[in-house]
Amino acid sequence: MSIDTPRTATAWRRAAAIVSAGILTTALAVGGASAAQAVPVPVPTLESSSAVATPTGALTLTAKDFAPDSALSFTLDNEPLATSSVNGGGEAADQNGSYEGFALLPANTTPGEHTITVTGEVDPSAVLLRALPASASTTITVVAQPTSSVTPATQSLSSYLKNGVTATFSGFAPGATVSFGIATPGTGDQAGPDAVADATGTVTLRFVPEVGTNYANEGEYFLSAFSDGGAVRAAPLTFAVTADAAAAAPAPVAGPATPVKRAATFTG
Amino acid sequence: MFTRTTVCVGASALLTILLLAGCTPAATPDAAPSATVEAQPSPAATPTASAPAATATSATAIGATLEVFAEPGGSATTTLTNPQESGAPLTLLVAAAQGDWLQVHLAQRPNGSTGWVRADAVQQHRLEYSLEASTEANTLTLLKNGQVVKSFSAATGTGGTPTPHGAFFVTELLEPTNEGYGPFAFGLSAFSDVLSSFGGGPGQIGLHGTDDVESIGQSASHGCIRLSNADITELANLLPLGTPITIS
Repeated sequence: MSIDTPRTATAWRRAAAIVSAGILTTALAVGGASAAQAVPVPVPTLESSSAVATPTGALTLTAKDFAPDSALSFTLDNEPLATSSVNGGGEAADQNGSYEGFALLPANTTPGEHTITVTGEVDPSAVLLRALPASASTTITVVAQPTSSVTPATQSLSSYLKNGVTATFSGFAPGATVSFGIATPGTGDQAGPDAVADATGTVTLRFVPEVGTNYANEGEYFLSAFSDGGAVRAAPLTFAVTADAAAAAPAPVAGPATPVKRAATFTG
Repeated sequence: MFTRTTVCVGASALLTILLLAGCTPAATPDAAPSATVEAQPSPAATPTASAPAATATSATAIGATLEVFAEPGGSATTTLTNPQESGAPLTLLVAAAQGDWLQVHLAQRPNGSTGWVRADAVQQHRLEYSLEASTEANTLTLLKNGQVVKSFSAATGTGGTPTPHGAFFVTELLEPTNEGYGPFAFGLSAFSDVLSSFGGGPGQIGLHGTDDVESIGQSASHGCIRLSNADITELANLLPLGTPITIS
């Protein structure tokens, strides 16, 4: 049996009544006179850190009131959604029946409303011999990713160390606080102080690497810009830093000039 | 900058100037019917003479035009044509390099002007030869890789039409079709501080031959440096465009 919240509250109440009746029957069967009253069954909940997100956006999902240690699985519109527990303890409720984890929306998520659902088990009563399956859902609105551009997309190392790169991100909510990140395939860091999107939803980042850091070498780099805790994430951005050209070969020696036949007008 | 007072004078006045300058008659027929005289520039406009480097680099334009910038990455201030009006390839002398940019000496007033060009817009060549001229000794010294090769007796400007001092370069080599310049005439990036035009030209200083053998070794010209025809022929077979010349 599945218990959905909050949309199917009527169904849940009906199911809870059935469960309560079952508990009552069981209690009577074992002769427990005190169990004659209905036992409340926990109603699990699911919350998203942001109601608005973009494809590749990161959400923090919080589930509560599941059975302790209950294994949990997540879906986005009934398709499996990968999550990662914040405590690294696996995709299961803790001893208190709670769970907190991260989820990245797939890049092909279309704009519009989408439903995230978590499924696990609830423990209606210590009287019952087994937990009952239950699920909870939340709805998010997916919007298009802000666009991004970087200049220059490719440059030599010496030029990069001196001038850095300038990235522009457009499409954030005006006034949104935008954070920046830079990453290599192996590392990632904050790329600069947060900025506030202007009235057009645009923010600009100028990143000049600090010599000696992971981001001051030849290679490919990724710049990111995000707001709402990562839920709204700009389109991916990359730039390349190439090796400086080897010392140029010595210029050839100039040969004698070729005379031009014409009248001279020098001062004489 | 200096204040320029331009005065057009007639043929008679020009003759007076030429006579005062001690010019030889051979030079006068090709002088323009009028000459323009300008006031002496302030000292700030005259570049300081500096010893040439042991080796220098020339920059020859690749395309039909060459944009010159006030600073690397700045706005273009002028566009030079290639080849030059004389027909010679547009070649400049490199003063410095910075990344993808070259600072170059320019053949324009005021003397000592420089600008920046894109390195990929020019072909660079090493210059083994350089010249040093002395208006006091009336000599021209040829150096190769900074070492003196030979000295020539020369004629330089008179007190009224002095040869300007400074660091310059060879802009072109002509085989003159008119008299007064000998078999060959190098154009220099220097311009007369006194004559703003001469013989239809802009008062550009030249290094050329002469049939007036008597003037060699004297302060006798309108600012040009004269050599014997044999000596200028020797240099014409040796010197590339861009060759630096220091006049002191």
